[in-house]
Amino acid sequence: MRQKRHLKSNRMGYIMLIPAGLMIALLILYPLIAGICYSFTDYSVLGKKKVNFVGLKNYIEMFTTDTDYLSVLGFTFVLALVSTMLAYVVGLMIALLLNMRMKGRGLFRSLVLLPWIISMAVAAQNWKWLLNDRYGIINHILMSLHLIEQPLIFLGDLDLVRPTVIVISAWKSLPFMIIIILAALQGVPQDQYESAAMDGANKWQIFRYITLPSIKGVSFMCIMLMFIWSFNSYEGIALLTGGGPGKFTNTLAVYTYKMAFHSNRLGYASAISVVVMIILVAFALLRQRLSRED
Amino acid sequence: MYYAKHVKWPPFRARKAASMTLMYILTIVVVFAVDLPIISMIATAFKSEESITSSVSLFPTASEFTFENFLTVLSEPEFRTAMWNSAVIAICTAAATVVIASMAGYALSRFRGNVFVIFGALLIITQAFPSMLRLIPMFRMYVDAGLMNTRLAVVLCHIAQSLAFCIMMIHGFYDASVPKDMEEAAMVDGCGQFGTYLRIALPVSMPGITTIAIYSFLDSWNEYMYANLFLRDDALQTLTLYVSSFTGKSGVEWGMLSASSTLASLPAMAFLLFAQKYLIQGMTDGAVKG
Repeated sequence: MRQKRHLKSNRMGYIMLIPAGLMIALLILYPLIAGICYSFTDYSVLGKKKVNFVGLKNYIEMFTTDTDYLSVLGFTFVLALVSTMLAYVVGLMIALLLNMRMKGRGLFRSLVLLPWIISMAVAAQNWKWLLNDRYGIINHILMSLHLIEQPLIFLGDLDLVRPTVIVISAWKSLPFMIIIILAALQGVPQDQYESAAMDGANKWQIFRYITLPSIKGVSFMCIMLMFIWSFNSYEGIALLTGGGPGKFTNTLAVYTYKMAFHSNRLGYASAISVVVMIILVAFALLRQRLSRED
Repeated sequence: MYYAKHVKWPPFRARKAASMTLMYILTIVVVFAVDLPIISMIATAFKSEESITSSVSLFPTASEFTFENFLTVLSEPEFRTAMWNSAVIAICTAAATVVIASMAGYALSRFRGNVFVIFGALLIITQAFPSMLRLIPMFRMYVDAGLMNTRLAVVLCHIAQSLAFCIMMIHGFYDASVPKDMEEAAMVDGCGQFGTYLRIALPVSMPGITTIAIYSFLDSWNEYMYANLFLRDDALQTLTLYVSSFTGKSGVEWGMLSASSTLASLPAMAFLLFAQKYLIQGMTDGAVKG
């Protein structure tokens, strides 16, 4: 009797999972598996050519004849790592500031959220406007402070473009860092601060020995999340520079996209994505292991 | 004792006032710096095209101030089409995501068995995979199914993109805030399982539903990559495509660009004003579970 009721109750559960299950099977699992299969073929121009199985040729090409690949991989790492660390350090400072007791804290907290909830398409266009060489306010300020003689072409100059996109990428993840760290800071028990202050600890000591250890877990988690997010992200670079000037700011996502939809090398592009997937899964496992240790 | 306290008080207060002022100034400067691109976007939108290219300043002067850009943009048929497309796509995405995620989340929260455990694990694992890998077979699939250049193609991608997160989020909500005895009482009263979900669990978890609705709406409204790949027809372009089409050509109309960007950001800003707690809830939950 009990067994029967249990079965009956689960049936409704299965029914309720069907729509989500269909969506995930069709739009996530199938493309994922198909993508892995494509990576072993020379799949190219859509529907016109016979598809051949080429084994590991795409993977071998990636690490041997493709001279761009390794530098793209390197820049993707640097972009994700530096922008995430930058966003974390600045985010922590802003979170500490917003954690102080003051009127209008809620308003300030809302306002720093803006970059996160605004479309990257909008953000990229307005960064281009700020950084414009003729009318941009940033060049104008730098020139009137006599820091530079000529306007800088931030997104066109080979020395400047990488730092510029790293800073913009950090700017995009900054609100996330602030909000998560702020939530963690507000969870630190107040009496710990009080007893530390009673024992005569100074502000730096309180920060170093009470605040930092209490937010360690959350910090680690949001650094990991933002690293993976930046590593994967396509829109920022695609909209700001399109990978240019030349190939200078190509990231793996942008490079894969171009390989697939501009050069029509779908098989090769899939192989690049599979390598990205392996890197990301390794990171996810690392994250899980480290968070379990906490 | 009282005397000493009385003497010490005023300087302390003055010092505190000074440090408070400093803190406010610092906070305002920081917030201003973080929001600079958005402030500049809104300020530029109120400047005429001529004054934008004749003088460099962040804010328009009283004589430069104009609504001209907004009026021009709003009268552009292309802009209106883009706004309509964005709205249709985002509303359909949000509606479908809410229905699908709230059912799946309920199933994961209330039923026990291997299927549910595997499903939950699958949701988390697929989150870590790069969307680029899925994009190529998806493109192929849409070509075969004749879904290229349809809004449905983009809606499906957007649902798939936010579904896992929304299921996990609403799952947590059902676990935490829907009282089980209330459901049991409804069950005893002959409500049936689906009836219990509809009449008890859904109304009680309205804040959770609101959060996933806002999340999936904004995610879809702001999205660029899928829209750019699957909507090649100008009549189907979304606001993100419209806004990004300004800079490719020579002689960028910065005033129009700023005005359309500002209008495109209105839903996000409105949610920030009126539903801030849902946005923040979504972010923090995403970090904990994602």
